[in-house]
Amino acid sequence: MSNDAKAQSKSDLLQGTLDMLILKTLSLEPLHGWGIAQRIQQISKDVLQVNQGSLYPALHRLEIAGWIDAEWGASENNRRAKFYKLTSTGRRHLKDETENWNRLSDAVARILATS
Amino acid sequence: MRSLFRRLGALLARRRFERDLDEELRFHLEMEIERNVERGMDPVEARYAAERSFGGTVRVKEDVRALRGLDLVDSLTEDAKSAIRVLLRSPGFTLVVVATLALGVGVNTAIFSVVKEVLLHPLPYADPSRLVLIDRRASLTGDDLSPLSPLALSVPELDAYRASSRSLESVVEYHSMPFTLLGDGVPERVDTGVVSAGFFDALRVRPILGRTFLAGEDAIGAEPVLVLGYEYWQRRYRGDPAVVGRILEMNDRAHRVVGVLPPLPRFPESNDVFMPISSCPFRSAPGMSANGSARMVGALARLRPGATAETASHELAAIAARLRLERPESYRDIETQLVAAVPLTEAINRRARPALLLLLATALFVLLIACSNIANLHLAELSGRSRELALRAAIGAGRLRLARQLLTESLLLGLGGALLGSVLAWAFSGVLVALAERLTPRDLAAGLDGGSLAFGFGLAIAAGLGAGAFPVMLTARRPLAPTALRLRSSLVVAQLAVSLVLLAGAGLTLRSLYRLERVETGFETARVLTMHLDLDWHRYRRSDAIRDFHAKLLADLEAMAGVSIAALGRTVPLGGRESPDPERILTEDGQRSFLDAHAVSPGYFGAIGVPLASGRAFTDEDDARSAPVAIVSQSAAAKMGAGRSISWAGKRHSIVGIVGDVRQYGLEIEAEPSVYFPLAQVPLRVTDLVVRTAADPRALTEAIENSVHAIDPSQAVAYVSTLEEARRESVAAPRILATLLSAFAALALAITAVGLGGSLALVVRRRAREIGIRLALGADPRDVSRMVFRQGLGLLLAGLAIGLPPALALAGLLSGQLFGIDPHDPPTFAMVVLLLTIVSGAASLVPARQAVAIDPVATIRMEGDC
Repeated sequence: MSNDAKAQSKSDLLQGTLDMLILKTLSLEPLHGWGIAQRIQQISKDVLQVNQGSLYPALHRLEIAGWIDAEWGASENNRRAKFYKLTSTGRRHLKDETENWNRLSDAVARILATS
Repeated sequence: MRSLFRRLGALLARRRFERDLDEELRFHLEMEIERNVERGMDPVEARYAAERSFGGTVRVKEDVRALRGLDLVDSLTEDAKSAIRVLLRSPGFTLVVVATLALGVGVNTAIFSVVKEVLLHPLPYADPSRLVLIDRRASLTGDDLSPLSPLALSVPELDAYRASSRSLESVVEYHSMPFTLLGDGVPERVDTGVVSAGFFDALRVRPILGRTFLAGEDAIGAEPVLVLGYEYWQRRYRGDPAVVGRILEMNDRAHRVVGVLPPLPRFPESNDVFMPISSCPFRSAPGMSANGSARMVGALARLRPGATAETASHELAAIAARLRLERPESYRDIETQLVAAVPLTEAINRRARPALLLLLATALFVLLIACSNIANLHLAELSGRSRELALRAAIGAGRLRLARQLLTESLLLGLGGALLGSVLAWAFSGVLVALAERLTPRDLAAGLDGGSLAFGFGLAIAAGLGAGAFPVMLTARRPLAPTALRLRSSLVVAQLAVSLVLLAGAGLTLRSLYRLERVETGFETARVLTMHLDLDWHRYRRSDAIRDFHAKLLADLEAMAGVSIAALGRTVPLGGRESPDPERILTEDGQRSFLDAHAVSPGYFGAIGVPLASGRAFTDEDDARSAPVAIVSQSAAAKMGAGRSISWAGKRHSIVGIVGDVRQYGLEIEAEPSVYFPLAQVPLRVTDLVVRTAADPRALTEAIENSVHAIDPSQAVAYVSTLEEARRESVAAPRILATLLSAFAALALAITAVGLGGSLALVVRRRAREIGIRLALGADPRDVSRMVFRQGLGLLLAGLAIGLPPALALAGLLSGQLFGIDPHDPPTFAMVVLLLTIVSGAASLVPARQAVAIDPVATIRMEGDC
């Protein structure tokens, strides 16, 4: 049980971060799953590699939560692809999460600076 | 809730969802391959690299499915599939469980469907719980026959209750009378409800056609109007709406039909038509409204807001006491009286309720036995499967997962039981309706409705799961071996105990029925045709006219071929329409006594076979001009002491004979002490015609009716029946009840026998090696079979010990349904115990044979136990 709980909280943290990154990426323009992964990798200058095994469950989770919408469209090379776009509640959520994140990272940074 | 809908939606859109997910992931993979190719890999290498980085689509899909709540659905389908596989692997087990469950559930569903209609459905009146009946029970002065019997109200009493009661409103009047109705020229005897104009408004019954009575239509002198009952309208006018407005002749007056009623309970009596009180020649007779001794009406009322039946009863009792003080002359013949407000529902369900609840309880017991048998079968099955289960547990199936697997099997068995049980219930509901319609005035639809089916399914699934959960809980804790055996034994003991209870109930009702059917009625039923003859009150107002009609009719019938004896009398036994009609008579020494009074023609005693104990029967010489005579029954003679005459209605009648006692009002009701007067001296308009015939009495029905019409074309006959039919009908309800209870008990016994046999067979299998070794060492096979029987006997004794006290206690509840037998009747209980012992012995026979037939060599080679 304790093992489970640990694993759970760890993945919660990771999930929350991935969710935020996905939402941020989608706030610029609607994208399909592959595009989201590429974009995160590019912007983070290959620091963040998004594993597909986490990406798709995360996308479905966000869709269930109502933060993003999915719709089929044509990709840049004219193939059928599932595009995700941010909803208005998703935008609000992203804003809240970004503020939280900033507060948290500020706090962490301050603590690290003192030593 | 929302997540439930989402899951349901996902389930429905399942195929599309899977396709979309596939496509989405494939797109990703292809993009990855393309990029790899762009980076300079060759296509095959590019694909491998992409797939490697992807990390397996299966896992991703599963994660997404789990998110969407589809994982549960998946594993449930899997459970169901594997459960069906398991059940089909042992068809014998499956069949026995489903059949047992179906029997248990079927009887319960059928009974519930009737209970629902008779006891649970609200009456078809608005706000029926506020309706009460003003009920008076009284004992008459000098009448020690029946302590308190129903007594109608007089009109002044009714008026007083209406005026003085503060807890009742809409107090309306009611009585029922037969009248002859001339519709299309064919005279017809119709039972007529005679009511206040506000009667249907008090019940809040709306007509389906036309209107009911208007205020003022019950005033003397108002235009005569009629409202038709639904059944009569259907039967006589085939549901023709044009009947409203028609003029029907009744009591020599033209009545206009103003409306038709919806189907209503036949309560307080069954009525064909309704008229306002002003139309009834008896009720509207001058002086009736002021006559405190003429008791002919009943009353219904509504409780005012805040009042209860109890407060209303107190109030009515107080008003009744006041009336008695104010008008003592109207109460001289009443010893004690009890006036109360009885809820209408209670009054209507008085007869049906105990019988139906008894059946329901019995059926639930049957289901209980069935369930314990199923639990037992599950245990046996599980111990057979213990290896499979252990294996599954070893390869990592969670305990919960295993339990769910087993419960899924139970659920499927429950569903199977429900389906088969519904069919059984449907087949079975006819008998129950036949019973219930004899006990309730309410209309019953045969067959099952959605509610009953839902009840059946719920019950079956609960029973299936309950019986399955029991062994599952057991397996969840520890491996099966020895506890299971002990548990199985206790289940069998419980079955034996419950069987004993049911057998005792069935035995008692059967013995009671046997007594009832063989009761000394005092008359002979063979080859006697009876019909009700109600001479039109208007044309036969004079005694001479009545006498002439009677004489002519009897003379014509005596001359008819095939007629042995024709007679008239009021009233024929088991006629079903009348209750005792005690008349006050004075014995020779001036003592007051109440005797059930009858008026009969000379052939009456011969026609229904009442023996003459002493003296003579009436003859044609006992007529209006000769000296008044009477015949008394043996019990009346004993009651009054030796005497040669009685006084009745101011005249002295000499007693010329004593006849045997007759059970007049039901086989279960003791013969009333009775007095008979010659019909010629007491000419009654309303009589029963009794004709003893040489051959089949029904064959003469038409000829006899024609003779009546030949004398008076507008004279109706009604209630044509043979005495044999009347007798059969009078015990129909107890017979059906006894049959049902016996069937249930037999069912329980059969299930128990299977349970006992199965349990012993398991013991034999468990000890097969031991028995084999014993036999190999030369043990007497008889000792081996004796061992099995001993085991069975132990279970039986435990079952008897546990079952006997509740059986005796519950038998007490039956006493209201029993006739002439003590609920603790020792012979019945002895027989029941004997029967259970014999059946248990028979059930032990098969395992005992198995034990003896064990092959020592085979068992010694056998490894482990099974």
